[in-house]
Amino acid sequence: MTSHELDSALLEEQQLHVPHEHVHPKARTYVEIAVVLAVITIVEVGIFYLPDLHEAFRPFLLPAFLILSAVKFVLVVGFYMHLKFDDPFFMRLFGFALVIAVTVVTAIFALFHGLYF
Amino acid sequence: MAQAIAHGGGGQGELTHQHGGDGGHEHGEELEHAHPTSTGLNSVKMLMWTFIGSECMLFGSLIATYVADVGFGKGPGPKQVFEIPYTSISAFVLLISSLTMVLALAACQSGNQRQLRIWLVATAALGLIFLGGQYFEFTTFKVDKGTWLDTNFFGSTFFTLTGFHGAHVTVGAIWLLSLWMYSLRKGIPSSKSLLVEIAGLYWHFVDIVWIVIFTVVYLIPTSR
Repeated sequence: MTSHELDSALLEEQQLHVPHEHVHPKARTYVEIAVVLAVITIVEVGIFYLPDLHEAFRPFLLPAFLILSAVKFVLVVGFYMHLKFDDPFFMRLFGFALVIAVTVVTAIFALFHGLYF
Repeated sequence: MAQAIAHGGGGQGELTHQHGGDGGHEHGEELEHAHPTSTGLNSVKMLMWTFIGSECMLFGSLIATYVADVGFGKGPGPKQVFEIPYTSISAFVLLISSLTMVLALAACQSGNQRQLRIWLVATAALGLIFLGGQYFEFTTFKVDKGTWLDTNFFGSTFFTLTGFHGAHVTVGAIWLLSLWMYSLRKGIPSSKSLLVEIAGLYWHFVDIVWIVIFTVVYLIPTSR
């Protein structure tokens, strides 16, 4: 067997012996995730211009932006950074730092602008 | 539980060692260089995630400083300066670069050297395109909109934040090009896919920081 064939056989054997949740996604999944991310970005830019149609849309922009960007964030961290498939320790490690960062941003915003937008 | 699988090649035997404690997804470490860890996790990957955590807090503090200023100060602000359609293209470019990066890792793990090199170069190229876009945007802000680091609080915080992000993208692009050159010289077999995975973690982090920046720095202040 060539080195490449041996690598492929080895990878296949490893995947047969690992639990399903630890098998990495295939390339097709990554492309599908990318399409979802692109669509969400288009939606974000689209809804940015909704208040131009009617001011009644403006109060909904902030929660919409936050939710959409959170979805993009989770998709990239979960699938592209493989956090969904890795040991939970890495998720706790990253999550701890993320909580601190979000807390700081929220606290500073509340300090200077209040908790309303 | 460990599986030892013998590789033959060039007269040098390499043993690959799979750690069950790591969720079984390690794609091979050379046993002669593997160090047992108390957690059963790869120490290089743990270091990378720790570093990413520290970068989280760095960018968190920079973003916090920016949001403190929203609505304050004289001179141009977000509404007068930003061009959302142009910036959304930058966001697209970086998102696509994340895709190419993860495809590079998948190629490496499946032993496809040619695709690995293609996707590594594509990722670096997209990063450089992003940087070019940032340079053009910053130049426009400075020359046409009269906003720079010393203009007002908005200018200082915005350019500091995006400047730091741009510096991270630059480092990432250099890293990827170095990996590409390494792959040209020696190849990166699947047993060494961790090299690509670690670079990928850094690159995806740079992307998710931009996801946050695009929303918090560009979209929200401009829409108010």
